[in-house]
Amino acid sequence: MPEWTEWTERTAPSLRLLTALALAAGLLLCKSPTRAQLTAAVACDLDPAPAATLLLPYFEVDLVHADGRTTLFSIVNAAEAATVASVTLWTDLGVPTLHLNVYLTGYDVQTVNVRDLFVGALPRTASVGQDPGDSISPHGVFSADVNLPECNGLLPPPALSPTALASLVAAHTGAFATQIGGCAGQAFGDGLARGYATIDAVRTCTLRTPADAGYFASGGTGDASDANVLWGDFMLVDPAGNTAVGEPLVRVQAFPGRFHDGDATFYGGHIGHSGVDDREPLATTWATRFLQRGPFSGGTELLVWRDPGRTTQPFACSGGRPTWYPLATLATTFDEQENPDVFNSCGVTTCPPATQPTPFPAMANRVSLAEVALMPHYGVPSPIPYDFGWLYLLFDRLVASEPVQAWTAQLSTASNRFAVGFGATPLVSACSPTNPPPPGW
Amino acid sequence: MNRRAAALLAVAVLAVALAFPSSAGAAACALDNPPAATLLLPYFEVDLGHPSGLTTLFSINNASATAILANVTLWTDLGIPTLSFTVYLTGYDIQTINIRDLLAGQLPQTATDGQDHADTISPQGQFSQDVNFASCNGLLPPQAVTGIALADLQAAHTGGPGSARECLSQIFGDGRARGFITIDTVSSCSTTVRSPRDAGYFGIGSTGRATAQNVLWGDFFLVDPDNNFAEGENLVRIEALPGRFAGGSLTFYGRFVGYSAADEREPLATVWATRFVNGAGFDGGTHLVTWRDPEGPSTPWNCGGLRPEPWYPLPSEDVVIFDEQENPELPFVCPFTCPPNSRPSPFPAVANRVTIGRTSTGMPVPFDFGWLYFNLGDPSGDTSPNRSQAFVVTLMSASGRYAVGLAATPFDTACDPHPCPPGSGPCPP
Repeated sequence: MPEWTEWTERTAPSLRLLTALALAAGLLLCKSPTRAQLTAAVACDLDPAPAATLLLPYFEVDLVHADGRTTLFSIVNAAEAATVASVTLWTDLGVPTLHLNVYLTGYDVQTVNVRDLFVGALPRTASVGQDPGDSISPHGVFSADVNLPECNGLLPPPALSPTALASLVAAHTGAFATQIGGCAGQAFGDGLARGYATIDAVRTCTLRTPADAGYFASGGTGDASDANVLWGDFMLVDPAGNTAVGEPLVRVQAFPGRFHDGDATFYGGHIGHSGVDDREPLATTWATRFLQRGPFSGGTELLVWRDPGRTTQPFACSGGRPTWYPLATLATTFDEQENPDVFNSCGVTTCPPATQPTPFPAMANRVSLAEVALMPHYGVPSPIPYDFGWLYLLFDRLVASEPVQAWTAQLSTASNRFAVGFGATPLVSACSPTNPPPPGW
Repeated sequence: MNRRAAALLAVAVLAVALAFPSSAGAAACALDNPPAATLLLPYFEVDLGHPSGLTTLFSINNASATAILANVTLWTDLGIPTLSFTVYLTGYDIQTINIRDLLAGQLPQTATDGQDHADTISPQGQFSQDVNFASCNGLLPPQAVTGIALADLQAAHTGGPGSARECLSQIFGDGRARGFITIDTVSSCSTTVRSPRDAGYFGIGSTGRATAQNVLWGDFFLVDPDNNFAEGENLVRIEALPGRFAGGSLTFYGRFVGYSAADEREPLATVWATRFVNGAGFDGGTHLVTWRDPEGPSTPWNCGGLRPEPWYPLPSEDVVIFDEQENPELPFVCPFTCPPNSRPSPFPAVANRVTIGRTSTGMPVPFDFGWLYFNLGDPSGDTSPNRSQAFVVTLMSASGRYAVGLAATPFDTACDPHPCPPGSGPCPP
C-alpha cells in the first residue's frame, strides 16, 4: 500500500485535472447555499453543525502582560461560495464596542487573536473589488471569490484611531469609554479585557451590528443572512499558567420560518422578540460537574454566557449598572453521593431575596467555583460545600421570574500543569414552554 | 426518608418528568449534547507500563431523580467486547472511573437497595430515588477481575495474545492499552446478556435489556501527567428515540441488531471537518481521535494469522486538506478508478488516535495550518442502510505545556448522509 505522501505526489497531475473540472463544473454550477443545506441542523438542539451565527461566549486578554492570557478564535466557511462574517465585540455587560467585516472566500479560514484587536490590528480581508491582485484574500481552486461593492471603504478594514482604540480598551476593562460616553463593562481592576463576540453570516459588508435596526429582517433579508455556513473554535490560552482550553464556537443555526413573534430566539432582546432573526435560542437549564481537588487541584471555573433578554445601554461609571444587572441563577449542588445543597438552607421556608447570591451576574462570566457563593447558608452567601459533584443551574433574569437563554462550559485545571474545558450539558431548551426549577426549589 | 424529603423527592421526580420531554434532545440525528440513553467514550489509552503515566478518566451521571442501571462495556480498538459490568446510579448520581483501575481489575463498587440495605455502598441524597433491582443479587457490587481473566483483559487491549493465543486489537508494542467504551441504560443486571453484541440486549419497543431512558451524561479526560497534557470532552450522547427508526435504518448499534432499529438509537455522522495546527502556540501538533462503525463483525483471531475482519483497514473517502489560503490537496485522487485496497487508511480501526502533520506516518498533510474535510462513510457510495458512522475529536498541544481537546464539526448525519466534497461539482438536493 502506498504511503499517503506518495499518493499525494503521484496524483498531482490528476489533481490539476480535477481542479480544472471543479472550476468548470463545480463552482459555476453548484450554487453554494445549497451546500449549507447539507448540514445537520435541528432547531433548538444546540447541535454542532455549521451555523449562521457563532458565539464566542467569553474572551479575556491580559493587556498588562504582552505574553499573558489571551483568547484565539477561528472562523471557517463551510461553503464554496464566498461569504462575509460580521464580527461584533461586546463588553461583558452586552454593549457592542467593535464591529468588523471579515470576507471569507469559499472554504476560507480566518484565525483571530483577540489581543490583536485590542492593539488595533484587525484581520485584513477583501473581496475581489478591493483586492484585484488577490494578495489580501487569496483563494484556492475550489473556492469562489467574488466582488462585493458594498465592501468598498470597509475592506480591508481601516485602522482604528487612537481615540477609538483607547475607548475600546476602556470599555472592556470597566473604565470610562470616551466614544461610548460612559462605562460599558464590569471593572475588575486586573488589566484583563473581558467580553464576548458574535459572528454572523451577512449578505454583504455592513456598518451595522446586531443591536442596530435593519440588521435583521424576515427571511434573512436584512444585513444578516440565514446561511448556515460558519463553524470555528476558540481557545483560552494562559502561557504563564501553562494551561489552555478549547471548544467549538457555539453554533446558532438559522431556521427561516421556524420562529414567530413572541418566540425566544438568539437575538430576541435586540429585535423586540419578533423572531425575525430566525436564529434558534440556547438553553435555560444546564448541568455541569466540578472538581476542586485531586489531580485537578486548580479547581473548576465556569464560563457562563447569558442573555438578559434586552439591550444594554452604557451607564454612569460611578454607581451605574444596566437595569437588568445582576442576573439571577437558581442552582442545586450535588456532591458525588447526591447530597444536595439548595437554596433555603437557612432553615426556614423562604430566605429573604436579598440573601440570594448572583454568582453569574453579567452576560459573559468566568467564575471560580471555589470563590463564588452559590447558596446562602443561614442567610450568609457561601461557596459550594463539596469538593466533587455537579451543578444543576437554571438561568433566570430575576429570581424565579423569567428563564433566559444561556451557555455554559466547565474549565478544570491542575495548577500550572494542565487544564480541560468542555461545554456543559443542556437540560432544557429556551424553546421549551416550561422551565422546571432545579431539584429542591 | 422523612416526610419533607419524600415531598421534595416527589417534586424533583415531577420536575424531571416535566423537563426532559421538552429538553434539547427530542430530535433525532442532531448530534447534540443532552442526556442520552447511550454514552460513547470514543477512545481511551492507558499506559500500563507506567503507573503514573497516561490514563483516561470518565464520569457517568444520572440526570434524573429516578434510580437507574448503566451497563458499561469495554471494547478493543477493533471493536471486540472484553469486559461488561453494571453500574447502579441512584437519582442524580455520579460515578467517576479511571480506566487504569478497570485494567487493574478494580470495578466501581455500586449496589442497589437489595444488595446494600445499610446504604454504605451506594448512598444517596434526599432528592434521589434508591430502589432494589433483584436481578443484581450476586452481581452487585461487582467482583474484582483477577488472575487469567485480568491478564487476558490487559492483553486484549494491548495487542498481545491472551491465554487462548488469540489477538483482539492492533499491535503497537508500546505497552498502552487502547479501546473505546459504551454505556447504556439497562433494566436489569445479567450474566448472559452482557454486551450490546449479545442477543436479547436490544428488543423492538425496548423489550430487551437496554432501555430508552435518555438520562445519562458525562465526560472524559485523557490525562498525560508526564507531558503535562490533559484533554477533556463530553462523552458522545446517543439518544434513544422510540418509533423514530424503521427497519433498515442505520442506528448506532445497527450492526448488532441486523439493522432492525431495535436499539432505537440515533446514528452519528459520516462527514466531518476539523482544523489542524502544527506550529505557533501549538508546536505539539494535532491529533485526531476517531471512532468509526466497522459495519461488520469483529472476532478474535489467531495471533499468528491474518486478521479475519474483511473491513480492516477501514477506508477514508473524499479527504480534502486545505491550507489557510484554501489551497486544497486531495491525497486520495486516482486518475481513473482506484485499484482495490490501494487507498491509504489513516483511521483503519474502530478507535483511532492519529497524528496530523508533515512528517506523520498516520496522516501526513502538506501544510502546517489548515483544515480537513473527510468522509468516513461507506466508500462504495452506498447511502443506505449500511452507511458507516463516525465521531471525531481534535487534540492540539504545545510541547510539554498544554493541550486542548474539542469535538470536530459534523457536516451531515448518518440519518441523511450527504457526502459532497469540495470540488465535486453540484451537490445533490
